[in-house]
Amino acid sequence: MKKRGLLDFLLFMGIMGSAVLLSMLLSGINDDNNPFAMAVFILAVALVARFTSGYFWGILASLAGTLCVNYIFTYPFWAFDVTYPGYPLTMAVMLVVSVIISTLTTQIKKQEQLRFEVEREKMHANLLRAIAHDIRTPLASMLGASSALQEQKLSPEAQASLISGLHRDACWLVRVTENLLSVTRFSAGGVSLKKQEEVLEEIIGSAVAKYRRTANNPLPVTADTPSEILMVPMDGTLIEQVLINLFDNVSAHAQGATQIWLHIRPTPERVYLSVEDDGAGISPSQRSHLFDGSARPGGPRGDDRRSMGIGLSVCRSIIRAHGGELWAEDSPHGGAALRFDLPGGKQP
Amino acid sequence: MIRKKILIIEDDPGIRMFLKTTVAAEGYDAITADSGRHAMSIISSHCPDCILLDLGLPDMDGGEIIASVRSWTQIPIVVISARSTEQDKAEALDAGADDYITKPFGAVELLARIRSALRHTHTMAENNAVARSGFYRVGSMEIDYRRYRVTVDGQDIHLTPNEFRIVALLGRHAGRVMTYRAILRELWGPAASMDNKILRVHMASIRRKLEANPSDPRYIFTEVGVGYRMAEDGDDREKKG
Repeated sequence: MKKRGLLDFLLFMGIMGSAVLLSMLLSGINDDNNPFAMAVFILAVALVARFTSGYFWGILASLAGTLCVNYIFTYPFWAFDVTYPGYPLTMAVMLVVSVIISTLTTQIKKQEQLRFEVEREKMHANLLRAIAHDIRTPLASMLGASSALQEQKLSPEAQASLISGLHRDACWLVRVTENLLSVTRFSAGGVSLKKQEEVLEEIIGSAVAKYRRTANNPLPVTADTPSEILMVPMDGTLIEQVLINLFDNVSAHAQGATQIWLHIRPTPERVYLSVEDDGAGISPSQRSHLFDGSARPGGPRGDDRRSMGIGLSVCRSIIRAHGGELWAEDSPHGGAALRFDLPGGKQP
Repeated sequence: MIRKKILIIEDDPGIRMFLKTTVAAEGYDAITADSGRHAMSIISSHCPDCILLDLGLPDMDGGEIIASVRSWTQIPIVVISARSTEQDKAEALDAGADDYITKPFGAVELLARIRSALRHTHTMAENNAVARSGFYRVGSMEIDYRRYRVTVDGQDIHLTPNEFRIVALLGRHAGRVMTYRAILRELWGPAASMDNKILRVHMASIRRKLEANPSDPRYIFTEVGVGYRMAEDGDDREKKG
């Protein structure tokens, strides 16, 4: 708040000072009662009222403006003359201008704030719902499996299958929490990203290796190698996370996919990346909910499969925080294409 | 054969239990410590063969423990850390840790790291082996230290002198993560600029010459935010864990 007050004060001083200077310059042209001063100061009062918060500075500006016009720019110069006939009018005009504009500004700000808060609440609610859903399903199956194991009347094969189920669910939960942690890394209190120039193929190589190591049923990934070395400013671990999520998403939800392609297209200002598969694709109706965490894979057995989860919405937040965008299209390979772009990407 | 002693320094009882069970099941002697102070006294009295160190101990800074162990012994130290703390990992490696493993991890991955750390106990001896034979081989790649040459499948790879020095350094420390800082210091001296951009441009160029697919390397791996690691024979890190 203190900072805001100081900023307002500086704005006030700056605008009013400029008005005085401008009027003085103009008064050189015409030595008589300065006809421009009044207009200049009304403009200044309007500006102060618009760009400072609350009514205080606007009203102060109208008072100061009236005094300046009276003191400096009307006959007798450099002296107060309350008998000057236009004086109450000047005063009233400036006061009214300041109050009207301050009111409008404050109203607009309040509405913006309100809309922003509603939007944020909605996002939080969506995210929480998606998280709860992502966590509940594997937890239920882990609880079931572990209680069944405690019964100790199971065949070794049954035990083994329950244990591998436990492991798979734990891995899933790990991925959910990794995603959540990724988001808190940059969205906590608006902390900006720790961007560093990274060689794009290093991040891709590392993401592909991690995907191959940790996915339940990894598909072969064919990644383009750009002919020139691309240095892209980014938070390397976050973009790596995005790629792993997109690969995982194909593994988990693209029915019939046998392969993943990663295409890279550099332009002078941005780099475009596209994760594509030859699976069933994403229907237009799913597309609209793809990134808000509520999407369910369609098809006849839609309900028993896990949601696309928060993975994709996390990807979108990460890409947006980098100044890019993530969207879905149809792939020429027959399945879905999840594309995103990142600003930068020049040869070293 | 004498059973190797592994010291586990971890304050969380659940993870300590998991580590101890896994390590013991593999035939190692597991000793545990739940605090830095306790660990320090065990290290000097028991002389373990390998130390697993959690970086987030309540009583002592992990870096402090590494530095104080390194002041008198080369016992391999594998650091256990959470993700999203690349800075901490790099610092631990620069302080003298041998390797790191990121939570959460499975038994297979853990045991692979311990085996690798025990293999590297005598890094100096290994360097000597490379120096004696004058070669480092992995897969179909060979570094010839006497002729300053690198070949893949018998084909000469034309590296610039700086590129060769980077490959040679990674080859001497194969299997271990070399931080950007360590590589820069080794190759360009202690006064080198700590801007790792030049190193990464060199690396991208090396990969284009060395790897069939630079986006899916077989010989030099990237540890994002930390550094590089050269593959070694019996490399089980890239396998599914």
